[in-house]
Amino acid sequence: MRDDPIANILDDLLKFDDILACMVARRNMISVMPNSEKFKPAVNEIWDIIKRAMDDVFGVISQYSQAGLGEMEFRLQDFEVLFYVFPDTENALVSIIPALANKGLIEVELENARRSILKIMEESDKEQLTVTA
Amino acid sequence: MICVFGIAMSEGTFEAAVGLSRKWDAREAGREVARTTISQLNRPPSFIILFSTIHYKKHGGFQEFLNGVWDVLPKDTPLIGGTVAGFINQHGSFTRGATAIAVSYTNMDVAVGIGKNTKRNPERAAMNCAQMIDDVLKKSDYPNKLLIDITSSGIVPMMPGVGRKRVITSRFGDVLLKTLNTTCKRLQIGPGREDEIIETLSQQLSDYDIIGGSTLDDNRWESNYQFFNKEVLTNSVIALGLSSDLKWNINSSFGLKSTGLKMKPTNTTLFDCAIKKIEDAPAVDMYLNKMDWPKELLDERLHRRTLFYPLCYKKGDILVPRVLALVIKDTLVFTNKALKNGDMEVYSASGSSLINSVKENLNSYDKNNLKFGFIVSCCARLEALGDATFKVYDIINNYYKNVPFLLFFASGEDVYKPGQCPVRLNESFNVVNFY
Repeated sequence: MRDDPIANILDDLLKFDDILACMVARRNMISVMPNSEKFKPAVNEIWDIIKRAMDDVFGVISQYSQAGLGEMEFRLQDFEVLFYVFPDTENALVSIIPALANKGLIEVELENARRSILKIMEESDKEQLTVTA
Repeated sequence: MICVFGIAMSEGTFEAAVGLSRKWDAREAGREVARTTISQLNRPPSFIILFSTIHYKKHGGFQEFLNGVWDVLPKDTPLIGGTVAGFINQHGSFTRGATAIAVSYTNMDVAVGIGKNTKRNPERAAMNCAQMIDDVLKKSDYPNKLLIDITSSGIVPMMPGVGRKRVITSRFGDVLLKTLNTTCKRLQIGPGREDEIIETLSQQLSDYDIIGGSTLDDNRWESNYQFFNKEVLTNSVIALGLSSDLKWNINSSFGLKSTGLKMKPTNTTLFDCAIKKIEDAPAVDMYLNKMDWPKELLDERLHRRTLFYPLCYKKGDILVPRVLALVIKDTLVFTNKALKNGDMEVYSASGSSLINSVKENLNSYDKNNLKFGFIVSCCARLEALGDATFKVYDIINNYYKNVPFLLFFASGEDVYKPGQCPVRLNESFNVVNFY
């Protein structure tokens, strides 16, 4: 078990058969990456093109997250990439799933993960404020 | 993680509690869900209803999960349950984990029943199950009787070289359809035949209110399990019978709108779950023609699209929706019975109509003296709403506040009220509130 609680949440998501890869990221930067050995091999084949497309989507997220942009997604070949944006930030929980997965069920657990990560981020911010004060 | 929820108490005799586990390990999850439920009660539970998602199949197995529950649960507590697509309780909305509701009440007699081989002989399975309930509760003097039934859902067949596909257009399609009648009875693969089960249960226990639903996995329809006391079962119907001075009301809602677009199935097969012809024309062509949909829409995403356009009929005054499960060559296959030689109508749903139907349903109830709520909702609604299911959670949680409640997402729902037709529903939202 690693110490980073956000990485632990991402590791948990990777236990789902249909979550092929996931991370917390922003444009040109992956903020928290789970153990990438747990990414399903299918993703590796098109990782480079997915990564480039992701960066373009993050351009949109950075422009509109302050306006309340909450979710984005795109389908590329046989995959869907889902972005759950953390409010008022340019960061998002990113998950790659098969295009034919039962997305509705997966979305519920991605939202649970997003809420848990948000809570950790808020607690971390509070701690920093306390230290600064 | 230990989650503690509110306890409802009344006159010192009634308690209900809902627990949760999000652990991955089957045994640990079993222990935790039992502990978080039972620890809230002051007296031993009169019964417990237990649900889990399918994930424990790969993380220790369901027998280990149930063993974990019995590590904690008082001996001989009547237990029913099974695998579900997801659930909502006071703590949130989940499609992975385990939950349970336990009730302890002095003025209540409890019985559990079981019938096996539901796909082979659903009538006999339901008869056996009803008989076990009746043997115990016929001696009960309490005025109100309720049955909660949990049945194994259908299983999508695995085709050699094709796999488990939702749309089968190849020549194998005809072969598959012909053999499904046989495989359903012999191998118990195919439709769940729950229509026949609720018919028989309601005939045998005609003075009971009945509410229930089918077990399933994560909406793949590959496997599902039922829990009956200490046993993990497949292809079974299990039930909890209550005879009590508690009062309850069952209410169903849908959020569906009539479109006026009608279709008359004229040739059905597979226990009437499959429509081969609509108005004497091949069903798929006629369906697409009437819907004004191109053939290209017939792909593996079909199910997700048709969730919003169920084909419905009326049984008495009750709307009976059917959600398209498979397309096999020229045939439309539903999870439950279609209406042969009768008018079926396409209804439409939207995310907001599904969510509003939850509000409408709950607002029809009196909240005074409410003890607990038990809700059966269709897994199609979960798939259709996705993370908007948290809006449903907000509505339900705000409604019940500190009153325990549990919603499970089933593969089709059963409702029967004495004096009315028993119905097997899809895409419905059914509440039973206890007072």
